[in-house]
Amino acid sequence: MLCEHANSRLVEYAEGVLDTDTQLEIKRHVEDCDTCQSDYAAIHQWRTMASHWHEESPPAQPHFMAVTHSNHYNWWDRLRHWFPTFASATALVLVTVMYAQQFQSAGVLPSNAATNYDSLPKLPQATQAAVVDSVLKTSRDQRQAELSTLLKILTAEMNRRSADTENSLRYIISTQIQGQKELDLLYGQLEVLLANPENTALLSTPHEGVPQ
Amino acid sequence: MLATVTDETLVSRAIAGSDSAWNKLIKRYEKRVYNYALRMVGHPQDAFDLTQEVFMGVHRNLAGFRGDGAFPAWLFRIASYRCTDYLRRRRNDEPFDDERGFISSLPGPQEQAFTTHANHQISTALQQLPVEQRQVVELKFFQHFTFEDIAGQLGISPNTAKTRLYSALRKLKQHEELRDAL
Ligand SMILES: [Zn+2]
Repeated sequence: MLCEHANSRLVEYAEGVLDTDTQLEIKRHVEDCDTCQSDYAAIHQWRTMASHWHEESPPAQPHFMAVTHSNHYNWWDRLRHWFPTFASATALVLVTVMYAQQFQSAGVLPSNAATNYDSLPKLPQATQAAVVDSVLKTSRDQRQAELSTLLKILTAEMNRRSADTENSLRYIISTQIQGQKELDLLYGQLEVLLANPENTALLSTPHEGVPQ
Repeated sequence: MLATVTDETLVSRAIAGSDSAWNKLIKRYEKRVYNYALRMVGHPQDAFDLTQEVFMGVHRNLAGFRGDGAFPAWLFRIASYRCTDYLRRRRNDEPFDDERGFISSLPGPQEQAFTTHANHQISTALQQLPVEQRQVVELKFFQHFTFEDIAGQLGISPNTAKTRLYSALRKLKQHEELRDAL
């Protein structure tokens, strides 16, 4: 057997998944070929090493839990530490609030925004906070009422989540997904609000109607 | 003996809105994904974050699982994508060297982060590899996927997957300090 034929099948050979004749042919070749012998040894060592991996458990007390209880972080930092996806979406919502009026006719707001903000351009993670800050400053003149309502909702939402002490992986994942659903709702409401700027009553909290 | 509910059944129930099916699915795969993430990124906290991102991605794309292949192969397609994205974001802050590529400014995996010495050595060895090679080593030797599966997960050809694996093997053989680990 040619070296290149044997060499390219050394992993399958080590796994023993080739037919008997091929296994035997490769075995014979490896015995006489330094390159294949050395490659096979490395493959064998990795397979052995992988079998020695001892399954680890996810950390029970993730580091970022400590962050949420520190006074050095404001709600926005907490939001970013807790919910990276939530944070990007929030920044997008805020930016959309800011620019929607100018660009609505140009089609920046997707028609099915409630499920579609993934398709909007992503903001670089590091600049999100800066973007939101600048949006907040510029927007104060024009859309203060809407933005402060939005901020109240987000702050209340963050406080609610920070107060939760459960921190299993599953809990956090399902909370994130819940947050995503709430953002979908919020986004939809914002779109309606932008279409009817005078009617702030349309903006309800994500947990409206749920007894606390 | 109780029959185990198949992944496919759990997926379709989760798509239909069953939180309990979704939680069962996470429970079934969270350790596998977390350990994958840990070997790929080398740090428990990063691995924890990445695991969350993987499951967020799985949840978002659940309806796209057609059930024509095994669920784990599909799951690890999302995991590979999320992992590449995660490491790309992280290395944006790291220095680049023309010969060696991105050099991690973070300390290597810390011994105390692992329950066994072997785990620490394995993780250290994996961190020596470029991400593209590390992924193939992980998917082949730890997840036991076929080269066809790996090719589908990484969006490359089976031959490219194989070439990357061999490059990884040869690179690690050259590493003197890793010979003991191997
Ligand atoms: Zn040979």
